Amino acid sequence: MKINGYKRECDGIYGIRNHVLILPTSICASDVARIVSEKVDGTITFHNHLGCSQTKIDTAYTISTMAGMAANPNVYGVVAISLGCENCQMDRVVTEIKSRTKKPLETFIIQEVPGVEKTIELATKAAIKMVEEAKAMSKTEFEISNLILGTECGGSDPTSGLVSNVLVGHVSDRMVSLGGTSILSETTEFIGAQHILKKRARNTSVATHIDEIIERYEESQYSVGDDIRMRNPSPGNQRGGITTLEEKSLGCIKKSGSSMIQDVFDYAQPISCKGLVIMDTPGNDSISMMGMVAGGCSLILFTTGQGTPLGNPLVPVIKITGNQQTAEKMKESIDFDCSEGLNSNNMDELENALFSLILDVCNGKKTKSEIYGICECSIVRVSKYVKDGVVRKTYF
Amino acid sequence: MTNEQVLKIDENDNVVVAIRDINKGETIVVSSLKIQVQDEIPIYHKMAIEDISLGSPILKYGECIGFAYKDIKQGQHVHTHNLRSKN
Repeated sequence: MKINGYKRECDGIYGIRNHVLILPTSICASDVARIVSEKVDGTITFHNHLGCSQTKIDTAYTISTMAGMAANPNVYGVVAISLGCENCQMDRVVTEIKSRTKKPLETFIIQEVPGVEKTIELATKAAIKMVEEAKAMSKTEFEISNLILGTECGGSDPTSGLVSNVLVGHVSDRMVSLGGTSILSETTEFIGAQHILKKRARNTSVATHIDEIIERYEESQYSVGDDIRMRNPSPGNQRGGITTLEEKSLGCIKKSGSSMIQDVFDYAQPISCKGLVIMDTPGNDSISMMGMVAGGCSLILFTTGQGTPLGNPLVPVIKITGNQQTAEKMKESIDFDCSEGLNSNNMDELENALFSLILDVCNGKKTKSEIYGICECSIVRVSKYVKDGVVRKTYF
Repeated sequence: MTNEQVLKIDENDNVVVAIRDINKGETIVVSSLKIQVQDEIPIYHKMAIEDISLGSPILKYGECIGFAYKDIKQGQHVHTHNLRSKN
């Protein structure tokens, strides 16, 4: 199954978009990055709310995620902007980026350039030059199995587990059978379904790893006096008809189809194997998607019951619903309506139609979130700053 | 196993999913069993197809999704008011 996209000769990988990434390495550089990006068509950026005053482990996750974004196959090159005094120092970020990719990289440190105006001027010039180089590239034909597919669900309702996640599971299995890679994400939503995932693990080590990431997640919530099962499903999930986290999880994991689980990857870790894999991400959709994008996925299938506008700046996000009312009410946010699958046995037909849309999107068709430019995203934070009973208890 | 009103996902399930809003008092048939609906069941919500006693598992997808924390009668709405994660 062939598609047309962009070969990154320097890294030996293939992308389906050709963005120049304006990368702010901390919150203090985010608006400067935004201003540069607004000046240069063909660039993307994101609001990095982290990059400083973090714990050691959160700093490491932030740098790993930024490097993964830079290395993402949909990115041609990177213009990185830092303030200068932040914890995520430019040299550390550059070292991490260079360990993952050899693509074009320019850096600007606002306090050293110095100043906002001069940084904007120089970074804009660098971005224009990089976009011109990117536009000079021609597309190459390649097998879709070169891609890593991410799967996500958000604003779930019972139709998610009945139809849309089942459909995405079929597509995930198809990607795997074609020799590609598919990622199951959102560790919170394995809780109550881990016995099923473990049975599908390639070996006992992978099964143990699945248990570990789930236990760690629940434990980390208990450690700050919280119980994930008491606040997930969300109010919207519950209004839709999902009662417990176990019920939500059993629906969620259907996105992974029936393939064997080859391995478990940490958040933003480069995905280095073929087949179905798990990435340890939180239930927050934008943060979860960012982890997979930093891991190298170039396309995300996102199922929703209630409807959500979310996308991602680096990769197209195809949003799919099995809820007919949502397909109508939230039509500006839905790329594929599979609600027919609830009342009939035409899943094969729906799978072919969805796969055809995937091919179109790979070949350049824009998704709804790309058209609207809705691409808010965020990086994971794993450290818990507030311990129950110690700080601010009265507010909660 | 689908008809126009509810979906029974797995043969072992003790709840079904409404695929349209179902009114209290309606009679629906699930696996040739006639059930008198006891509550309003909003679309995509769950309804018990058998009596489920306090503490018993609720089965959907053929798997345990939590436990009844009240006695639940056949035909009743099953949701946050009578189903919880932990026993």
